[in-house]
Order: sequence, then structure tokens, then C-alpha cells
Amino acid sequence: MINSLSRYRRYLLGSFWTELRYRYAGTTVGFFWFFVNPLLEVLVYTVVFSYVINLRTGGQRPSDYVIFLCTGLFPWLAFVENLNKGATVLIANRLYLNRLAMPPAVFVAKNSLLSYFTLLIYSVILIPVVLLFGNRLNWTLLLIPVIGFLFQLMGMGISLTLSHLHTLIPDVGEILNPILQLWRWTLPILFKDDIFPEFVRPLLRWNPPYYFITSFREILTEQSVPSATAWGFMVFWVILFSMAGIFTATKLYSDIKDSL
Amino acid sequence: MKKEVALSIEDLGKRFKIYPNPWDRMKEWMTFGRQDYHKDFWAVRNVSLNVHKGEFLGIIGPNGAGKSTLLKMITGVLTPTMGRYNTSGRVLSLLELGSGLDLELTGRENVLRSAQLLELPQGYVEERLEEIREFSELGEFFDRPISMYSTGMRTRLSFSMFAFIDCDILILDEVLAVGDIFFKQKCFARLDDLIKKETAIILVTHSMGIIQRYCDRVVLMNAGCIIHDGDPVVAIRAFTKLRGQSQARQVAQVVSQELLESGVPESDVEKYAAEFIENQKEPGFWPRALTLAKKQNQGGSASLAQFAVLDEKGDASLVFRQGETMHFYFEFELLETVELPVAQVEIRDERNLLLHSKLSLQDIASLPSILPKGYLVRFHHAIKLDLAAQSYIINLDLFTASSEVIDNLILDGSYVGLIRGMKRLCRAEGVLAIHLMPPIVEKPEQLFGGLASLPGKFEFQAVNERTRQIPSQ
Repeated sequence: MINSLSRYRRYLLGSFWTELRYRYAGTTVGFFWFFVNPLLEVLVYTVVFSYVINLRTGGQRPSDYVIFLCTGLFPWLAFVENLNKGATVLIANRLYLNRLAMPPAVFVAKNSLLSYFTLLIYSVILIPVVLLFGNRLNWTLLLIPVIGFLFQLMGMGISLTLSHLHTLIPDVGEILNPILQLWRWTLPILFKDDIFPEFVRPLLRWNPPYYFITSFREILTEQSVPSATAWGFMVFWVILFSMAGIFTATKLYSDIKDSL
Repeated sequence: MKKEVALSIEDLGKRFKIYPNPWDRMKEWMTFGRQDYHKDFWAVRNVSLNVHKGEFLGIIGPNGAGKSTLLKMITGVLTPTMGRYNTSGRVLSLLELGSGLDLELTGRENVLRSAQLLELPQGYVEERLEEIREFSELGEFFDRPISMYSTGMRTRLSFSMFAFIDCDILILDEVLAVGDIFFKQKCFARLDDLIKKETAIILVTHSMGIIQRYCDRVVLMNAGCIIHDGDPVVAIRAFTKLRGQSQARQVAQVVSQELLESGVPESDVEKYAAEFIENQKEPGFWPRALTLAKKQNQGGSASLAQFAVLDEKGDASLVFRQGETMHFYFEFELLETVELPVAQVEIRDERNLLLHSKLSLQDIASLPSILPKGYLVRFHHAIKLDLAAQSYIINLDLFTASSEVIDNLILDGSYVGLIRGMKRLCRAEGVLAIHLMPPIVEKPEQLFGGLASLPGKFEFQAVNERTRQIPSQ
């Protein structure tokens, strides 16, 4: 798997750059549209949670909530993008896959790389926002790309499985959407853990994205290095989902090529 | 003397699993393969083949015969279910021309992108970029986005790119069907160069003209198996026959179904169907219905309704040997009332050069002088094909004029004047293409050079200059 990816690395990087160019420089307002969606979500949640329901989490000011929300929502959105686009990526590239001896994983990897880039862009946008609302930042900022990378690496493992299943069973794509919608509410993205009942709380950390999101947020808001437990969990999930992805891709390689 | 083997295929087969419903695949996983929910479909089975260096192999066969599946296995896109194959060196397969290109990128960028897709070493295409640009004749368009290209330009770009990549086996799957004739000639000249460099070329096409002109050897596939491997002429004949059979089978199926529905006992259906098809004769010279190709009504004063091309035995065919007689049948539907109808058959070569054109002027005195709207007029033209071995296009015209006008025009003796003097009811261009192959020579006078053989004969004498005597033997 890794071997075949490295054989196509020049294509991977080449088409990655081209796609970046279209995404961010294709149209004059392209870059702007890219942020409309997340900013709109931030606005809606801030109004709803901060003013309408008056559910203040952490700090008491609405600005604290905005920071809290952005630092959780942005990595999550980049992760969702990875899975959503990843699920359909093989079908979108069937033209290449059914004519060339390329491994499907190349396209999944490219998609995850793009989503990783999205996450980095979001992080860069977050820095002035965080500073503006009075937080300080230090060297721990350098851990953001590392955590983001691990997060999207786990996403790639899941995408690898999803893309194969979706190609063979089209309903998978339809099921994925509601699952991703519900999944958001089981994570401390919109609110803190303490909104969950006491007995559920210890289970939350077993939710795969949990430590990725909390670590990301703590670096930006508290300048704290993730704990050993957090690192342990993150590495564990990356390995688990990568293995699962590689297993699926190997098992279904022939089926995918036959059905495209 | 056989050259070195470039590709050897041994007992290769590919089975596809057909699931009636995508979830059936899931059900099968759940039982860990203990229970089958799929049907097997063998797209290719028991195929063994050797292709030698510098060989130009053609693969033909009806749709769904397994040609593409076979090629996809050789290029590594699909995994064979059984058997094995061995390739020496790099196998290069042309993406269906033009479709693998990224519309947003320029021609140059697309060439570089394709090189990455084909895992070529860095710098490989970069070195040849100038040659590729020149061969493609795209000029400044080479640096413009592909979305501005015409289909022909895309074909040029793709072919130019592939023509400059060294490989040991080049696979062309139905790729040279498009493009203008001059570029096509250039492409084939390039392929000849590759052959000289010991590249093995495998070509899949439906164009019998290309097969006949370029392939040394042809493989005919049907239902996943090779049914002929060798002489191109034999293969093309067998293929044409195969198509006729499948058409006959379809007719037989329809007839059998109708017989069953009308209450004929199942045991007798087959016999009756065969009888029915055999007896379905048309009045006069007109051939049996199943050899005919139907045309859509194109409107106008008259419209070509159906036609057939039969060989001397009465079988539908588009491939003939030099000197054989082609029987061409065609039928026009009259969409208005006309005077005497006169048909013209034109034979043109691929460069659109007119080689033969004739009017149906025999026995016109015996024809009715007026034909009402809605009538079908049928013609049979037997032509002895003493033409060069290549592909030809047939065009049809239908004219009308009164018999007096025609008689006067004939007296003038000018063919062009004759055509100008009549009213044209309709013209059908490119009705069909036929392919001529070299003859099986029985008499030496059958051989000729040039475009056509003119009727005539040779006599020979050697005379003693002084005595004016013909020396006796």
C-alpha cells in the first residue's frame, strides 16, 4: 500500500497542487466562498447557544464562546470534508481507475492531503481571532500541524474503508451523511463535556475524534501540550483505522477494479 | 523465422461477480463466503496467445466479446481470475483518446500530468516536450487549456504524447477511429516506425479498413474466447458472418416468441420458426428481410428506407476480395408523386475521390412513367469490384425526369449533363463502407496496379525486323 503510494507520489503531489490552485485561486472570490460555510455555522451557533438558549460554556462572554466553538468546529469540519469527499473519490476518478493500473488509495490519499490543507488554512485563520480576543500563543502552536496531521491520517484510514464500501454499495453514501450530522453532537464541539450526564462522560473519550479536537482546542486556548493519554489515544486510533483501511483496500482491490 | 515473444498469455480468464442487488454483496460477506449471492459471468475464458516483437496484432469481435477485458488484464487494470501472462518490458495503453485529459489544464500541463499517471521517470517527457508539440501540430494551442480544444485537437494531443513514449508493447483500444485523414496517416506512419523498433502493437478496432491495411495477424474473439487467430482476411470474413448469425438469431427469437404466444406447441416452435424465416421471401429480386439494414425517414421528396450488401452467395457482407461481384440492394420511399425514378450509385475512396458512378438506366422503357407518393422503389446493382484493395464509401442519389427528357439527354452522351437535366429527389451520403482485400489469384490477368482494373486484354508478338516473319516456336 505504502509502496504503491510512493510510486505515484509525483502524480499525487502534482494533482494536489493543481487542485489547490483551483480551489483557492480559481475564481477571484473562490477563497471567500470557501469560508462562507464555516463562518455561517459559527454565526448561527453563537447566536443560538449564546443568546437564545443562553448556554454559556466555559467563559461568560459571547466572545469566549466564539473561540470555544471555532477551535472545535474548524478541525471537525476539515475532518468531515475528508470523509464526505473521500467516500465518493473512487467513483469520481473511475476514468483513471478503470483504465490504468493505479491503486485506488492514491485518490483517497490526495483527498486527505487536501483536507489536511483545509485544516491548516483554518488554523491560520484562527490565530488572529484567538489573539484578538485576548488569548496568548506560544511555541505549542507548532503542535497544531502535528495533531492536524494525525487527525486527517485517521480520516484517511476511515475514508479508505468508506470509499471502497461506497463504490460497491451506493447506499453507504446516503447513510454517511446523517451519521456525520449526529456524530457532531456526541463530541465536545458545540458545548463542553459537562452537558452530558455524569455516567456518560467517561465514555466520551472513546469517541475517536475526541482527543484530536480537545487537544487542538487546548493548544489554542490554554497553550497546553496534550497529555500522554491524549497522545496515546490519538496514535492508537490512527493505527487502528489505518490498519482497517489497508485491510479493506487490500481485500476489495479486485472487486473495486471489476465494478468501476 | 519467429521473433522474440513480447507477450505470452496462457489460459487467461476473467470472471465477474454479478450481484442482483448491491446489498447482496454485504450478505455474502456476512456469511464469510459460505453462501453465494452472485452469478458468475466469464468475460474472458481460456485465452492463450503469444505476441512477438514488432508484430501488429489486431483484435476484433462483437461488442461484449471480452476484447477490452483481455487488454485490461494485460495492462494490469484488472486481476485475472485464472491463468497467467508474461510481458517483457513496458506495456503502454492509450487512454481512450481525449478522455483522460484534464479540461482545465493546458496541453503542455496535460502531457506532464499523463507522464505522472503513467509512472514515467522524472524528466522523461520533459525532454520530449518539443517533439510532442511539433508532432501534434497544435501550435500556440499547446499552451492553452484543453477546454478550448476541438475533439480532433484532443486526439492529436493524446496521440502525439503516446507516440513519443518508448515502450515494448503498445495497446490501442479503439483509438484511431477519430481524427482527420492526414493526421491518421501520420499516426500510422509513426506506428510503422515503432514496429521497426521492435515494439509489439495490439489494436482493438471496429474499423475493418484499418485492420486489413495494417495488421499482420488478427485475433477474432466471441463470447470471451478466441475463435480465430491468424490471417486477417479469414478473421474479417468470420467476423462478418458472426454478425449475420447474431442478426438471424435475433429474428429467430422474435419469431419463436410470436409463435409461442399464438399457441404453437413448444416442441414445434423451432421447426416452424426456421421454416418461417426461410420462406420469408420478397417478390422479385429483393433479398430476405434479415439481410437488410433499415434507415430513418429523412424527409424531403424521397427517403432511403433500407439497403443490403450481399456477396455472390447471398450472405450479407461488407468485405470483398478484389474482382468479386458485390450485390447492392436499396429501396427508396417516395414522399411525393414522381416521374421516372433514376438511381445513382457512387463509389468513393477514403480521400473522397470518385471512382465509379452509374445511373440505373437499363430497360427504362419498361418502367411505369409515373409513380404515386408512398410507393417504394427498389434497385439492385451488381458491381464487379475491380478496384484497389482499400476501403470505399458508397453514396446514393435518386433523380427523376420524364422518359422523353431522359432519352434526349442520353443522346447527348454526357453523364454530367444527364445528371444536371434531371430533378434530384434525395441524396444519401456515406450509406455504407466496404473493404476490399487482395484477391486469391486464379488467373494472372486478375492482378493489376493502380486504382482500378479496366476491361481489356493483351496480345503479344515478336517480329523479325528484316523478314517480317513471326518466328515459329
